[in-house]
Amino acid sequence: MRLIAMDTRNAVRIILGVIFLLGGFAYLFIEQPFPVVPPVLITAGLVYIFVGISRHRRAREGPEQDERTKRVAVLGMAYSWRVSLLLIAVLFWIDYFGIYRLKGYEAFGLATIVLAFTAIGFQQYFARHGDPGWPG
Amino acid sequence: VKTRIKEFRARYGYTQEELARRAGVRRETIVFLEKGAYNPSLRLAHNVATILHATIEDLFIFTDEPEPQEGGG
Repeated sequence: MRLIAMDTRNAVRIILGVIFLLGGFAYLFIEQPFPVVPPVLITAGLVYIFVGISRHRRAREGPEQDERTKRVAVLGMAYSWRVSLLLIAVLFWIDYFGIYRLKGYEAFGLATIVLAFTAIGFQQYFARHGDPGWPG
Repeated sequence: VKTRIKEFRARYGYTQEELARRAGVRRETIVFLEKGAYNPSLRLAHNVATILHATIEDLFIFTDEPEPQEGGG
């Protein structure tokens, strides 16, 4: 197995992940005014560690990003933004006509989830195509 | 766009990975380039041409004909 030097960003990701993880576990043993904090810290820590390790492994295959992957990332975000804008417009009219009364946190939560998942979905879709083109 | 990258790469004995490393891109980008499925930037086209001791015109053949659709007959 070929070993390569770890990129500083990946090292920082892994260190942050370990800090979050340890912080989350430490929080379990003290008085908890906010019970939501430990699972959030532990989840964030695991995500940081996973992303750091997986990106370090991918770095063996070449640069983490090149012009095509940057284009794919930008296009994924652009299409995701369009879908999310459409969703927010639909949610507005649903609320306006009283079909369903959205609470603030529901709307924000839904928009955040849709933004994140559609961005990942579009990026994976475009990554499988050679030239994703530009949104027309 | 049709390309002769594979032919030139074979001429110099480069693997896709080696060419990608020299051009500073990921291997998949070279794969798509060879298939003619990716329009590179002028800088990347120039880099690849320089590595393969060729000109951009040697490597990339632009045709005015519409490209066939995937899965089309």
